[in-house]
Amino acid sequence: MSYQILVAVDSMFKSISECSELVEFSLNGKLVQVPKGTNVAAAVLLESAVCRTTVVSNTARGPFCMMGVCFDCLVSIDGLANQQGCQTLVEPGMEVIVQRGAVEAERVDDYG
Amino acid sequence: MGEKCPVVVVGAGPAGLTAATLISQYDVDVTLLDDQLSPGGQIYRQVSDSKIANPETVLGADYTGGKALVDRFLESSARYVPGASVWGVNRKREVSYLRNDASFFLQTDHLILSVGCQERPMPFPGWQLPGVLTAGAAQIMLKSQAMAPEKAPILVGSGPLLLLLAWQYLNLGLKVKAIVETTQTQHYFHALKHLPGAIVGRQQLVKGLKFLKDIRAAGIAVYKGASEIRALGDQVLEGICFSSRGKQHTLNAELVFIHQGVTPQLQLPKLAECELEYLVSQKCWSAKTDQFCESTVEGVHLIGDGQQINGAEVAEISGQICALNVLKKLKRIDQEDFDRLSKPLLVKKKRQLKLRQFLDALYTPSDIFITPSDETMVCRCEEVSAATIREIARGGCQGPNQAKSFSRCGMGHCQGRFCEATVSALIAKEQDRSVADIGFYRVRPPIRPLTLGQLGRGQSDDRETN
Repeated sequence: MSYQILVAVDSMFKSISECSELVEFSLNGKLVQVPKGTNVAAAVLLESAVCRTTVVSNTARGPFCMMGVCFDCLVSIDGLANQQGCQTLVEPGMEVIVQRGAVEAERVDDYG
Repeated sequence: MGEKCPVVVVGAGPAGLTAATLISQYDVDVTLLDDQLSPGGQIYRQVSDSKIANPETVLGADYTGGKALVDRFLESSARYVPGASVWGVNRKREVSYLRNDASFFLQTDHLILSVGCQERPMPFPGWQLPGVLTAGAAQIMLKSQAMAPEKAPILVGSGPLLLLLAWQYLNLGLKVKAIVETTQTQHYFHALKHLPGAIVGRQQLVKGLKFLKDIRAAGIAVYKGASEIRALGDQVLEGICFSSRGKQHTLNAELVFIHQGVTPQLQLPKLAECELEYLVSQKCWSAKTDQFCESTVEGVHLIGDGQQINGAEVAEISGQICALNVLKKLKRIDQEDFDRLSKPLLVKKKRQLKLRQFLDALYTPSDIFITPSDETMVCRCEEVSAATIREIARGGCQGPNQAKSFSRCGMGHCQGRFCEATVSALIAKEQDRSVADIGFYRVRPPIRPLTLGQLGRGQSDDRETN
């Protein structure tokens, strides 16, 4: 199983927010700062295109619809797996972990 | 089950906000549940608190114009419950929702569902690759997250949203690599016959033409009549290839935004046992209502794009008509007032719908996305291909619900939201039947993931904690 896909991708989006207040949280063990009001899926897209590997084929998948319909942006948040990243605001100190495969949620320390 | 509320509205888009505001003006206790944290729905998302500099110049006056609607609602006496994700309703109008990690239950005689639309699935080989997002997603990133693409995106598909998105990026000084239009030549001809009726919406048509002019002036490559679309990439998106006007093209891309119109989100009307009907003109299901927006289930009212795709203007008008109907039932207005107030609204709505006929004809989804090629992944969650669906259809599969048992299609995380249309269309085509005859996925609560803990922490009502 290779997790290289989770590190090989560049940032997809950039913030053009006027909001100067930042929130710090942990994304796969890496501390990341994002503007206040950012949701978890958007925070992932500031870093990468990929948010998990899929249940069936264990291939890379990223946020797709950003409105709670597609369930592609599932991540583990504070120990609870399969949370919709696009429907959850980043909170200070939150721990977000990329999911691999079915329900396994493990820390991937080398996440880019 | 749950506390009794006089009126419950689900969804804070233009339809829901309008209905809730109007009903509350007659001293009726209205509760509005919405899964977002600020009102506006997807179209006016974050409009009262935009993080973008000069939102009117960048995003357009149509967007910032929604602030008046949101303000009127916030100033009204309606009780606003943000962050409430409704996971169940039934024909007795009992509503279950998740909020702050616990479940809450309400019951009402007047349930108004205005839950909005979703992107129509646009399946083609590789559409599941990271880096392919919907144009709606790109818009939400802009409006609610103040985030723009880092790499010049390619916009693929058809519909006014693609043009609007390109125009908004231009306003921000961002590059768009190309627009790959899938509108087929014959769609323009079909649309022409609806043009006279569409004159009522000429302002919108003029706006569309302005977007096109600005896009041309910016020198963005526009490929017309595109087909045979394929996203390239091993693990993530690397490019896209397609044919346009007889020529093959391959473009490098790290971001592709796709769009093929929108369809109503029908999970809640289905749970409430409202009757649906298949609209051939829109190639999707809609929920049946009478002219005053009441569904086939007494006391369940359906408005906005969650009932049928008619756009924001009609959503507001329907919100008003529905509010009047509920007020009449609550005896806050008499029949005479109802007739007087609703008549001009019905006329206005009818005129607006003429523009919709034009747009429906012009931006009808191409057949290549309705019944995609064999290798295309139809069900993104369970990773089921079009070939598998065709095979089980040839084997005699009766419809989408049986297809689940054969293939697990529609049984993944999204519960069929992104494959239902394609599965039904594929079976219909293969068996030479109509989609109306094939049917749709049944849904069961909860329509959102719910832990036992979240269900167990249930309470009858959390409105006092707001």
